[in-house]
Amino acid sequence: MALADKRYLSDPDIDRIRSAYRVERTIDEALTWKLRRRRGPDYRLPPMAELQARLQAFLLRQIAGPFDILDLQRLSGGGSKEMFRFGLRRNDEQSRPIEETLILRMTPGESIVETHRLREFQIIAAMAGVVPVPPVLWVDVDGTVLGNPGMLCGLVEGVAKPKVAQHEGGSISGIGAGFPPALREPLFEQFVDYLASIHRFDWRSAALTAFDTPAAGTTEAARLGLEHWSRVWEEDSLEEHPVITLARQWLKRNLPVADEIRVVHNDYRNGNFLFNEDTREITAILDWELARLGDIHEDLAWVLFPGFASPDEHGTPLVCGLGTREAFLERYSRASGITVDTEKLHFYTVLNLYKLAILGSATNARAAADRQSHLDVMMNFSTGLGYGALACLYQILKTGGAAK
Amino acid sequence: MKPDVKQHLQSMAKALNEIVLPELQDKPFALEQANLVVASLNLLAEVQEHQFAYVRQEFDDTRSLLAAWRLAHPEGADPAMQQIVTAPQGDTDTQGLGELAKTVTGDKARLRILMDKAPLPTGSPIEPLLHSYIERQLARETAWLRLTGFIPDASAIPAIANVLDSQKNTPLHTTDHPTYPPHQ
Repeated sequence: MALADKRYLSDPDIDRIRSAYRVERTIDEALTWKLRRRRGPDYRLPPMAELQARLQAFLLRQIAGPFDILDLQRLSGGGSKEMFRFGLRRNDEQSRPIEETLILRMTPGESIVETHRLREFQIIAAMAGVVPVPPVLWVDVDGTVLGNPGMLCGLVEGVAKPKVAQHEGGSISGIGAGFPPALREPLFEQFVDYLASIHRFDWRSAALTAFDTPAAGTTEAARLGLEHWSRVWEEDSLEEHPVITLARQWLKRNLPVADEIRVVHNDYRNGNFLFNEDTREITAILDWELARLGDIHEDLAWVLFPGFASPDEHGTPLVCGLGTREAFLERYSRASGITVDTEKLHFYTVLNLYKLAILGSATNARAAADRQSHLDVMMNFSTGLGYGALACLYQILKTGGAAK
Repeated sequence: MKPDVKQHLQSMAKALNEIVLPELQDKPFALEQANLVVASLNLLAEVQEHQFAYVRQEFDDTRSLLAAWRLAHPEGADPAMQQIVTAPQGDTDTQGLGELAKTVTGDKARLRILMDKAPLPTGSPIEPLLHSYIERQLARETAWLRLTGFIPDASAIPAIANVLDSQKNTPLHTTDHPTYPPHQ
């Protein structure tokens, strides 16, 4: 049986995949770009001098007047995007000298997930003033100047994990990170209330041109999610997996109707917000690259995923290391005014595991196999995330999913 | 010579831990990568010698499932499928790892076609066999990756050597098959 070499898919093969799965316009753009770029040489980390020159050229187009780039440094972490930090010295509107620290977030060759910088830029800009987010400044959507698509934003002070963790979570992603009791309650309340604020946000007046809007009262939101991740599986998997096949069949049979279309963060969890340990305040909600317009149950199921939980002193599992499941659902419903539907929650639990399994077992592995990532060792190692998710997904399908 | 890949891997991890990592404390990006390399070397030291046995077990299980599927539901097998399950298996012990892995990948692609295009009728004896097959595959995967820190309850998962031994001694068609709720 002839199998396509996914490193070098032909244009007709790419067209076939694109027509087989209906996804949002900009998601199609990002995924197609990935496939075309994959046919090129192995990815190499940009030398700092080269990156500095590109950044200089990019900023020349954005800033009127003189400026200096100071101390450009690569940041650790960032399994999804390459992250750099630098100082920018320039004059403000009154010609007074100012210096600020900025973050450059760039799409690598490939990584754990392929996303579109304009979507990320627009949603963060839209959420400013709704929840704490980093100030976004400029975006190079297609990487014409920066070399790869990239976005610049301001630095927000804070930490993603407490210095003394209650429970040691994954060091790579903050997954499973726990919090000491003194931090837990204030962070829990903000964590839940900010999620409710995101879901209550009136996105119709926001500039979200990169997003497609599924129709309320239909299964379109769920279908777009399923088709998106099914396409990623087709593009990235090294071989077929029967649990993915079973899950896809189940999801297709059980698509729920979205009563209302709202902003979905799509990676809302511990590790993806910054906080100040002294004031106990969340200073920024991060990692918006997967955000979409859809069904809020996708976010709720993600937050409630046991893989992100960690136990308290008595061994009770806490949602994202912060509060019990009951407390989370109670506070969320009160803060949002939204009634949680358990059937929809179940569907999105399966969809989220499907997504996590695909990202972890297929996209990670593909990026490393084709030497397209900025972190190939991490991509190989974190396939454990995907196969752990596959095992969880199978248990859910076996014990309840297929009977629903 | 006594060829010992594991020994090399362990020596590299030791050198990184004791010599290189302390020099990287003020270089967070390099330190993070070096820590991941150490963790990967430790994982490889546990699993690398079992790679061929792993792929061989995947081959045996997948061929066993495909053959049973065709026997139970010959009408559902496409011509290409029939060809592969009836073809002589040959001496797979003499196949190289890459060749065998490619064969397994092709067989798994066929399994997906069967699952998508030839749904099993209610009460099919293949249904429980399929789920045994899946559980054995998941057992191999989680054992292989148990040292990554991402596998739930990893401390309770046996080493890949033990999983492969056990599966080799109880081939797929001889195992007790789990029950599974019917599709809806």
